[in-house]
Amino acid sequence: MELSAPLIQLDLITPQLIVLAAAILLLLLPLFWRSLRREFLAAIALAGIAAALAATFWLWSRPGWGFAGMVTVDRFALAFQALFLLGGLLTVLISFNRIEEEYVQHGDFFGLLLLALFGLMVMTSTTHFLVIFLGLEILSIALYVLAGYRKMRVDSLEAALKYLLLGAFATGFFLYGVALIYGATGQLEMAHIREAAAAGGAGWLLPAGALLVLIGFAFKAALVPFHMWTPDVYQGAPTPVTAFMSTGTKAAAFAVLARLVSIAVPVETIAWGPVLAVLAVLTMTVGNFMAIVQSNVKRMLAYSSIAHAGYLLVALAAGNAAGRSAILYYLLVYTLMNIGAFGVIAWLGRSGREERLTFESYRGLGYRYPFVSLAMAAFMFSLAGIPPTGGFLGKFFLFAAAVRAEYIPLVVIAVLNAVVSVFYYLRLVVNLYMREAEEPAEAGKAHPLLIAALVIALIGVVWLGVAPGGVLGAFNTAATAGM
Amino acid sequence: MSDLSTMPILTILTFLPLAGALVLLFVPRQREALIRWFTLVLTLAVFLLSLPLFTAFDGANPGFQFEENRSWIPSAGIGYHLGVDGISLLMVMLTAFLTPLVILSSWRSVTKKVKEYMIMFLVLETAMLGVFLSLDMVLFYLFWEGMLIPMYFIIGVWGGERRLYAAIKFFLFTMFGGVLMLVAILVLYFMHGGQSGLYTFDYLALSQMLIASKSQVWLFFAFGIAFAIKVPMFPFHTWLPDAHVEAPTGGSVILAGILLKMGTYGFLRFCIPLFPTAAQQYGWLIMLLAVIGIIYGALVSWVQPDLKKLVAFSSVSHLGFVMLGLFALTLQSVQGGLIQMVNHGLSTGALFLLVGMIYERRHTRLIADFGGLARQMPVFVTFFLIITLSSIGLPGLNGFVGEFMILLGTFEVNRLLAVLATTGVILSAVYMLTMFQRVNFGKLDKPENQELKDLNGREIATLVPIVLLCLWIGLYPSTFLHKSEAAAQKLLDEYRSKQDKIALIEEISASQTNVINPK
Repeated sequence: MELSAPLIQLDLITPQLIVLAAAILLLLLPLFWRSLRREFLAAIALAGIAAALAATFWLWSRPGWGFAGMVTVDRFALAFQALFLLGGLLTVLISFNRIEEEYVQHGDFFGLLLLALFGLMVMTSTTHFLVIFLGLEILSIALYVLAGYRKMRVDSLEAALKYLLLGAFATGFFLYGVALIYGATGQLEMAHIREAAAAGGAGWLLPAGALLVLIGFAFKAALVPFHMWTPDVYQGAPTPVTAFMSTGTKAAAFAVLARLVSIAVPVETIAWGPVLAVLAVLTMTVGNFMAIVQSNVKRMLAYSSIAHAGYLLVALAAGNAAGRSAILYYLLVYTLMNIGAFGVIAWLGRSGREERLTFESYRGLGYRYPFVSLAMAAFMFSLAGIPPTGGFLGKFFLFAAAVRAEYIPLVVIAVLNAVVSVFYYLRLVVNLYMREAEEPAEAGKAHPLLIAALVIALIGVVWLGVAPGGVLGAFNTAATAGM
Repeated sequence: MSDLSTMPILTILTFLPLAGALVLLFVPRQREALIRWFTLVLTLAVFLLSLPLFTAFDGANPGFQFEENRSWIPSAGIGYHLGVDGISLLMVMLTAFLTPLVILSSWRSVTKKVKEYMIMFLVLETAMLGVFLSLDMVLFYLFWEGMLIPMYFIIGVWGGERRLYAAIKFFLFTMFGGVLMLVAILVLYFMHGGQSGLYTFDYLALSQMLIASKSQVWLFFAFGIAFAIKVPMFPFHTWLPDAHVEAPTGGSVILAGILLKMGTYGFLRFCIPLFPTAAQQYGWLIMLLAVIGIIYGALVSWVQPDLKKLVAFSSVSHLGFVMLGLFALTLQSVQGGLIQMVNHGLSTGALFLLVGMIYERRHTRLIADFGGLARQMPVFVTFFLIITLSSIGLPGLNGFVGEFMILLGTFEVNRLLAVLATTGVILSAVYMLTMFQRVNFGKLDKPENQELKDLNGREIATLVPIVLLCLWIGLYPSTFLHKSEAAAQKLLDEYRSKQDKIALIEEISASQTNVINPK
């Protein structure tokens, strides 16, 4: 079908433009006024995100295509945009903590964060590989800087360097894949690629290219065996940046992958099911078993995020609309619970001048800090997928989609993995509530904005566990859009 | 109470404790007396609310009553569907009955973190009632797994020395079974959707489905392992002694009294009606494991030096009886199994309470540390005697009714297993009476025991209702059996008719394939 879209449709990218404007403002303002309070800068960031969210909801009922097919604003894209914006919002809020205080006082932190957000939004609201590449690079470069933001610390620099090198690798794979796809079909837009492939003569170049693109995003989403960078980077980067990377980047990678396997290179060209199923099994199992042996909470969450990518792959392997809807739902819950968990670490993870990141250092905090501990316990139960949390319903929908596609052995492996994960998530709960501290732990008062983030995440996690109706309905329509 | 049918009585019953827990969140933790009284009154209110349910329940109606059916997640076919039938009624009553007693028993023994303790028990009560009342598979699963969280905390925070190990073991074992059941639930859902075009998790719809006998076997075991772990059946019982020994008294009572019943209830509610052919094919295996459990549990109990461990292992033996009765699949044995579920909740619950009372005084549970208590604590020993006799099934007390009906029903089906199971009755008399004798009779020679105080008013108040109920069931079980008879009969009728239908369909389709591919 030929779409006669006008060349420029700025209204379609209103949310992106708002975020970009806020980012530029945040980068420029401190150049002229050196002593701006960080609350003021955060207010700009939050206002930008809120306005962009509003614009996203406004676009929900008027999706469209523009820029000569370079921009696709369907409900699938909009759902992801809303997801990223929520993640960005929570990330700004949890950066108000005592560890990051000394680093995060400049406008460029929030500016770079919003730039990364802009990159995420660009790469998901398109079906054109070049635009995806643009978005990916905007995102990655902002994140390379953010990962090394604590520039006086060796581990932060190590994180930045590792992320940069591996990121460059991943981009290389991606570009090589795109080049092969272009060579095979002469197209860079997904629907056109499909048509060209269906017309015949694509040969082995198309599947080879598609697999390279998959590998490129497997790095970004931290799928096994392309996950090696994850724990070091997550541990070294500032906690809010880790929270943002572990949710936003992963979600964007899954958005692109979902489009890749359902639009650009359909199952007729590559049997995606088995490929993704093998990746899923590897990712879940390695992630979970490595998480068990961690003694550092941030590293545990890094491996746990790998495992969660595995659960998401289960639904991606299913390759149906139910799977895409479930992926969206799970990513929403995951954004809330994971950023929530990192927010708790940002609060409790410091005593005196030392970072407190071992499991033991959380001993007995449950009774001294009842709210934050309750929130952490809820996030852990949700990550483990225990009802009545959103984590349970999210997994339920993921696995239901896979059962529908008759991947029953895969689902059995996935649920057994969920049982394994209970072991390490509950370790934190055990330390919070069931062990006494040798010396009274001190975490100090939290910034109201950080508390606000935890309240939002907590309410969201419980809400999505008992009343999924509206959100699920919206995601169901998103999952069928443009596929 | 005048018109139960228009009131969402089951919802109120289920969520009243949870609402109470939410209220408690805002009560300052220093007001311990207030917290205790509030919880006691609330759980008593739940019990009082369950009484009109029991009296208004029509025993002649085999179906579900007081049903509430609302849509919850319509796009996924998940509903909020509650209902009670003759099978779940007794379990609901037992839950509502035991919870206030448990709160009462924790009055003095729980002094640390009272607020959190009470909140956990209230949340637990909601989850337990939800499990028995849910008629939607996802709702059921939600309560089934959700129940793990409060129980995990109860063992892990207020438990004994090895509580962390016991808590995580309990959690992992139960969840392992649970997730396999979840996969089976999903398979059922899509099977039903594929057959009828109606995608729903509703129990009533799913239980109408006829499933090919090959698929039944897989599904039967996926559900069955979840329930067998919960019961626990031999050889899935290893989590039980740890959990029981480490849990605080209240936790043990609820664990033995109600949580274990969820396993047997699950077999009765799901495994038998949904997968009748598989239940018939593999019934022998379940019955065999049940009898092994009866004898093994009894023998292991015999050699336990620790009172609580002894009672814990005796549960393995007693629940073996229940499983034997359920899978003998005669009206008598199923009814016996049902009443035995209640009996075990009462007598084992009471035994844990008694062990808790003596532990509070002496801080030991070793049988060898006692002796001659009959002199020092006559009231305690009287209760202990009644409960011991009820547990070993003395005629006139509740245990006899259940065991007798089970054995009678099983004898018609499988004589050998019935005879073997009967040795379990004898063994239970042996280990219980030996224990009773060593604790209560003989010389009062330990100086610590000479100081022991007899039961106080609160403790007596905890035990008296249980003893009365034991006598009631022992002397006039019809009150309870009448409520469940129609439902049990319906279960058996459908079990047979569904089996026949499936066999017929498969025979026809097999003969058709033979016609198509003649050899």
